Amino acid sequence: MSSSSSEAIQLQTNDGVIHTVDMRFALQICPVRNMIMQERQKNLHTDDVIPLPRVDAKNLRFIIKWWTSVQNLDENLLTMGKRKLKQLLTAEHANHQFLLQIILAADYLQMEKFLLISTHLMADALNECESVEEIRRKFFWNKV
Amino acid sequence: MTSASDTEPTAVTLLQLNDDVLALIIRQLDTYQQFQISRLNRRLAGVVHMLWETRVRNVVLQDEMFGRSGANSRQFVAFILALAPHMQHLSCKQLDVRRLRLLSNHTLERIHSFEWLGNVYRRRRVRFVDEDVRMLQRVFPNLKSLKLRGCQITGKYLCDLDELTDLRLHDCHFLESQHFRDIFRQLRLRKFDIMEDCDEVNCCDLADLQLCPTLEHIKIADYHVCMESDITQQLLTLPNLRKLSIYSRNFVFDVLSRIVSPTSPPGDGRQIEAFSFSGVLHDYGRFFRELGNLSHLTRLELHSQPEEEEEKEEGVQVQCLGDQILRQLASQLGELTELHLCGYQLESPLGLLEFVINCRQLRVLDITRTFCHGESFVWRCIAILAKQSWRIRPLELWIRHSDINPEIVQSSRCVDNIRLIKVDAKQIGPNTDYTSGVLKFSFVR
Repeated sequence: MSSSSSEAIQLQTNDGVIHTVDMRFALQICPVRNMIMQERQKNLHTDDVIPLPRVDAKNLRFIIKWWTSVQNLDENLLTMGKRKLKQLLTAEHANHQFLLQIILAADYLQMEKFLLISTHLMADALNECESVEEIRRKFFWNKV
Repeated sequence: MTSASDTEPTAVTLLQLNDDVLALIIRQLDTYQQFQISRLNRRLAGVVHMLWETRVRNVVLQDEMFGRSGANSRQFVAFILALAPHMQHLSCKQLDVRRLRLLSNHTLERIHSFEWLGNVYRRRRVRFVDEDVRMLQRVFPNLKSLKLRGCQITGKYLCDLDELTDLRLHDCHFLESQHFRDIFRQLRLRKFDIMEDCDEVNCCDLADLQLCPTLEHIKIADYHVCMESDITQQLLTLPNLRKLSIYSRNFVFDVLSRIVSPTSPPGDGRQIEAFSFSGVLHDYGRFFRELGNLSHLTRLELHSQPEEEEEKEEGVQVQCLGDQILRQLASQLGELTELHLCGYQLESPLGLLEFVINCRQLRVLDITRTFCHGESFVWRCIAILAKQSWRIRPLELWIRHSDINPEIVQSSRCVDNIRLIKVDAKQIGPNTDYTSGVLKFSFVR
């Protein structure tokens, strides 16, 4: 299995949707990368769909969209990646709930840079709160 | 695809994130927000505690941290007491001094470094005064380092801070000379910085400086040296003095001559091993003549003007150094191992080459931002070095932003002579360590 830009791989999210993604994106996902590396070591070549049991289709689509928009950035990934993420979230009219969901997804997928950027954005959202009561309401649903 | 209506039904809370991810988020918040969040839930408290154990040795407090959430006195004190077991350095930037006074009945033993950065230009603000220094003594009994800026103190109680070894007073325009005797007599200071406090109107007499023989690093201004009581002698006889920095806007030559002149002080003055200066001068001939007295100098750094100032002031005239004065200096400073001559125009390469000829131990020649007549300088250097059989290591030539083409590094002539000369053209950022107008002397231990 070579990692040429045209190569694709299939990932299945927990709602049964199968996503055909660029190999370069798949290699950003640590568990998937490990699986591919193991296959290469054993000289195996499978076209099996790789399941992602803790990510749903809309979250994965969003992460792919973000990755596609920043994949060619060599420098300033943190600054530019954060800006891009903010733009995409705004364009989708996404709320804090959605940001939390993609942080959970990023953590599961072990996408370090995306996790760092999305947690920065979450910290910004907390910073914008006027009071601790507002934080409790918005981010803990008054459950603490 | 991911609109609000699409995503709202599944209610996720921050608590569903694991501790590591929560820590990634919480560490971006200021310490007061971290404290507030820690009070929401035991698990969050654990995450904050974990962060504080490793990350809050240095804490910065600013009014805006508390203004937004309207922290009351009780909450502020609770916050500081929660931080107390972890922090060692506390810095208060533009903080209302009344907040600090809320701590007056507490003792924070772990804090050994305190900074108060007030704003002298902000009116109608309660000032940090002498009584606050007394409070510091009670609240921080183990204070070793104290920096006060923009305070309305006379210096009266500073001598009571028994543990203090590092005292820095900036923009404190109410200091009174009479209190410095006790400061120097009672404290075992190693570092003393009063460089930014002084002008022709407000200048404390530091005549009793010699009462503090532990001093290793002193930062003062020219007025302190050139006042009625000349303290040059006191300075140069301090047994542990390693670094002396003197800010001078108008008396550079006078200060330099007092420190380096062979007749001052009489007897055995401390030997100066390094000197640096950054700034614009009108008479390099006189400046170099004074430097010529430092025959044991091993490191000389001269920067015509800091890079960032040069960038700000477009069209600024580059200062020209004549061959004669450079050659004279080269013949006097034979022990130099490092020469940094940055941001000048040379009359010709001859003056600089004289250092390569005379200084047998020269290992670094830094000509950053200097115009030294291009590549021919490097070729002539190589020709001289080739004849110096005593050299055991190549001369490092730093050519960043000079008129020498950086590609010279890859030229076959340089590569072939790597045992003689190592040309370095790395484009690193500007060095901001050079405050304009400061004469810095380093003394032999």
